[in-house]
Amino acid sequence: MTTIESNIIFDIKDLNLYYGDKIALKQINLAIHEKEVTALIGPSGCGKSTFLRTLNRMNDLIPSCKIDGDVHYSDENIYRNGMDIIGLRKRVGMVFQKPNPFPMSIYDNITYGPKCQGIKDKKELKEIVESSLKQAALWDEVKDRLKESALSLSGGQQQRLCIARTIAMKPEVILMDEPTSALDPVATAKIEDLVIELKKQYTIIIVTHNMQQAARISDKTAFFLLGEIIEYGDTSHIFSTPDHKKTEEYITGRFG
Amino acid sequence: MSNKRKWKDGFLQGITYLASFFSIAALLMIIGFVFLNGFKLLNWDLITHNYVAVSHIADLKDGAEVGVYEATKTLGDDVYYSSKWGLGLRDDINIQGKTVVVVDYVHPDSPFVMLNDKGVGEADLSLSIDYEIIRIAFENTSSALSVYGSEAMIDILDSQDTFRELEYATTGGGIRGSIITTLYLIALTLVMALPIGIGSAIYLNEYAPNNRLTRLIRSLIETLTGIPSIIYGLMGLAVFVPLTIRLTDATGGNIISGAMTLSVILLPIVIRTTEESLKVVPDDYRYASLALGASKTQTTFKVILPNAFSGILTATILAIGRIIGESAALVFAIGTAIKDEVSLTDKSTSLAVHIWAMMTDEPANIELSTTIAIIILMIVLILNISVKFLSRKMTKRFGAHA
Amino acid sequence: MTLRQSLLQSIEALKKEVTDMADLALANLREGLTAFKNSDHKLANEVIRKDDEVDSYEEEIAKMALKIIWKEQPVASDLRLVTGILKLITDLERIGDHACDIAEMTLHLEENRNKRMLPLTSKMAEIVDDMVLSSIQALVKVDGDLARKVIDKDDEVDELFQQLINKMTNELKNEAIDPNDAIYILMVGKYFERVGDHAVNIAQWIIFMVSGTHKNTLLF
Repeated sequence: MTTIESNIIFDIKDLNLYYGDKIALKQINLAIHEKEVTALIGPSGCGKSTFLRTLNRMNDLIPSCKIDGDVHYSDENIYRNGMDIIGLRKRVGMVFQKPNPFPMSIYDNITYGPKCQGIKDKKELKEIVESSLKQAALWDEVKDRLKESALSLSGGQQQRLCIARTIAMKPEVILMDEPTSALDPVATAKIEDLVIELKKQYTIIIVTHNMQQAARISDKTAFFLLGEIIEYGDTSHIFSTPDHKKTEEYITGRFG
Repeated sequence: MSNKRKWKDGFLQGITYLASFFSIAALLMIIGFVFLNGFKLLNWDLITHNYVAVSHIADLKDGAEVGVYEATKTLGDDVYYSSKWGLGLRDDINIQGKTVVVVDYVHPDSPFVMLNDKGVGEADLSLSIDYEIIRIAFENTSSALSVYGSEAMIDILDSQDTFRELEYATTGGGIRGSIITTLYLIALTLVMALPIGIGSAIYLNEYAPNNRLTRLIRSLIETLTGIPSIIYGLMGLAVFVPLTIRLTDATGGNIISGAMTLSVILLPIVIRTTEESLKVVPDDYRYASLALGASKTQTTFKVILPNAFSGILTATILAIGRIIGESAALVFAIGTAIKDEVSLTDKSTSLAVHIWAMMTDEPANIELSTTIAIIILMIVLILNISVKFLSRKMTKRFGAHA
Repeated sequence: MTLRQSLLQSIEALKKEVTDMADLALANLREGLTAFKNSDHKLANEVIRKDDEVDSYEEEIAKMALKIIWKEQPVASDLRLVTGILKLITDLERIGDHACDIAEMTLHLEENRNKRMLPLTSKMAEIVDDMVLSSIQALVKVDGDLARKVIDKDDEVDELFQQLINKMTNELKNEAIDPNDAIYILMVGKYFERVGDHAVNIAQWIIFMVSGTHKNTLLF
């Protein structure tokens, strides 16, 4: 059990988010610690995915979305004028709910990001591919068929490929939006084991609607309800003696 | 189910059967009409020969002599051969449908290989296979005319040791010029329409903000697809022809102005089809690319566009089909002069316009027109098949979701 | 590679802790017995002191087991193992306590005062030691058959205790033994008998781990 708290890598203060006139996130205050797995749980539509997307500014893609408040990444306000969004997204990667590999070869999928960054050296790219696939626990399964289409892989493998693709950018943080909800139990278990392994090197923030998953893999858990954080703390605390009644009710399945 | 219900169902079903029957019948009629009428004249010469038949008058070079020239290959039963002159002739029907005497074989050492041009030309003339012999004039006997037939011509020739004049014609009636024009048109139009069209589609689908202005632009483009092409032709005549006259050495309608006109006709179609195929690309790919730190432009050109490739290919094929078929607009923008020597800055005819020219001639040449129609149909068929083939190959490579 | 490495590692760690606790309890028991046999007061004080260690193991293991339950949501054999362990550590802790009690009794007995009871008490000690050792082995291997053997031995212990009572009664009637000594010796015998019972409890929970049945009742 860690008694020393690691650095804070994401510091969110008084964050409010609106879709047009509707408020979706209310006064969010959260401090994410480095090289930990932080789980965001809560019922559907309560804002967890929306919140996750503010961390790499993917919400910018939605025109009606407005935010106020501070989101600090490594002491930098990522919503300030002139923020390098592309640079941010290289350091804060994202894995989506439905595995979405590009319809290209496995090799091309992984080299896509680095190539966009300007890396051209073939030897360097090959190393990136091998290292990323190894870290994603996929190398042994695909090393002989890197040129095959990524779509020929199973769902679980595709998702690990997406993780490898994100890792290829050498991020500091990996955001995961319900990465296993489209997968079968075995594939899910593989990815959970992978996340536990990856947290040694990366900070991971994972949205999950599966509480047991949050219990299994996360160090800290934040409980979202109707756009607010009801409780945030050590996972062991939340799942044994939560502070708030609402947390208790949700976790014990008293209400959905 | 009651009887009345059964009758009603049967009736409605019968109507659908009848409708399809009529559609298929109509299709078959068109194809049948075209093939039956045009098949007769369909041959390779048609495609490769000039339209204009050029006649020449020639006489023997000094020192050319008769000799004994054994044929170096086996000649057909219908060929009449003079071993004295090394020339084989036969009767044939030319492209226009007239009976003519045609050169079947010329011995390499025959005096007919190198002849003097009695007309204005400086260079030597030479008899080649498929040339029409119109008339051979002699000193000591009356001329051999093509109406006599090839056998008679050869007999007369054999009886003489020299001749005064040879009048012959290169074959004409071919559509080579029009085919070349059509190919130029396709290439030029695509070069102009595709980049502009695809670029506009990318702007509209990926970059344009979702506001009233964009919606207005879109509905304008939709409207453009419905405008009759002859109006575009008028515009071409009024705008593009003077433009090209000013910028190049063109003096009237020309291929460049024709291609410009066609590009404008095609623009809305290309934009619409490309936009559709861009829309179909799943947003998942966009999100994945952006989340990896790629810029919007990189995402568009490295992920979305390759994915929309088969759709763009379809747009291209539609475009080509339209180019080949377009006649009314081109009549104004390029003109109707059938040319053998095709130049970009000069009038010419596409295949469709060639048909139009044939049909407005006196008398209307339906047979030739239908033959050209067959050729057009074949080109379209080949295009469709190659698109399907290419598209399947692309899908395999990108493994997709076609 | 097997999945759920986190679960596997937690369970291995838990088993190791329980084994360590059991080994410590057994060691204490043996030292207590030795102290009694030899009337070794110094050793007896050692045993009393070390009982705290056994108690803290119980807390530690309970924490680990609870964590596995909320974190890994174990089922089937994992669940039986974790809950079985939660139950049997109580008995292990009691064995530790009794070792302590035996040591305390020893402090009240003068040298050689228990000589004549020794054959009986020594026999009891031997059997009880064997029972605890066997139950630990059964725990490590999660072996139901070995556990059953432990349960069978308990009758012998009870029988011997009865014999001790009879002999003691006789000696008291004949005034051959000091009543004070007799009480302490009897209590030690009783503690031996209790240790045997706790070893049986542990064995029963081990059988539960294997089959889900506790004392012939299916708990699921």
